[in-house]
Amino acid sequence: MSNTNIHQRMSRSNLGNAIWSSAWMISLALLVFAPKFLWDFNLPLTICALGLNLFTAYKMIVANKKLLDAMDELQRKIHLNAMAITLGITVVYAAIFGILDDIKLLPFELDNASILFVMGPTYLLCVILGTKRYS
Amino acid sequence: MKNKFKVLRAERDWTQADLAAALDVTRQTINAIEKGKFDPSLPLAFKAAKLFNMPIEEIFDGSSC
Repeated sequence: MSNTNIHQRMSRSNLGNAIWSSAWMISLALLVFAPKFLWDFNLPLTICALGLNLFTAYKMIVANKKLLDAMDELQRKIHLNAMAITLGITVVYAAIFGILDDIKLLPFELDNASILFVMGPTYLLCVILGTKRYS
Repeated sequence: MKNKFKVLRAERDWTQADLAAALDVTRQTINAIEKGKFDPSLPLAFKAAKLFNMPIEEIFDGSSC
């Protein structure tokens, strides 16, 4: 059993999650923009940027798992419910988003990254509603 | 599931925060358990029983399950 209380564990895990999420975002920006604007598609540097991105992604995923482990059982339930709903909505969205323009329901082609803008707000909304439900 | 958390806590003059700290959970979790909105896990129920020095079945009413 840990000697720290739940608030200390949560604070530490939140900090770790914030640091590695930020690092991943920065490394993603580096991977997207640097090959074109900084090193003119130099292959070894691009591979290094890709490696850095994968490493920070791994650390972000581990930090997220640690955050889930640091929560108490009610918080964990709220977040797991939110994850389940987000996963379901993401699967439905991913299944139809590619065909919306093909069947002329949308006048433009959706970008793959749009899935992140479905997942983020869905997860946030589910956590807010879950927290409200148990308060 | 009904429980006697609120009564037992009041008898000891503890706040929800005090009980939450003793059980290493958040105050929101204690509040949800007291209101019957959330049923604690078996380990947490045992922890509460040990803290209140009572058998689990005297704290939780399993007949409402």
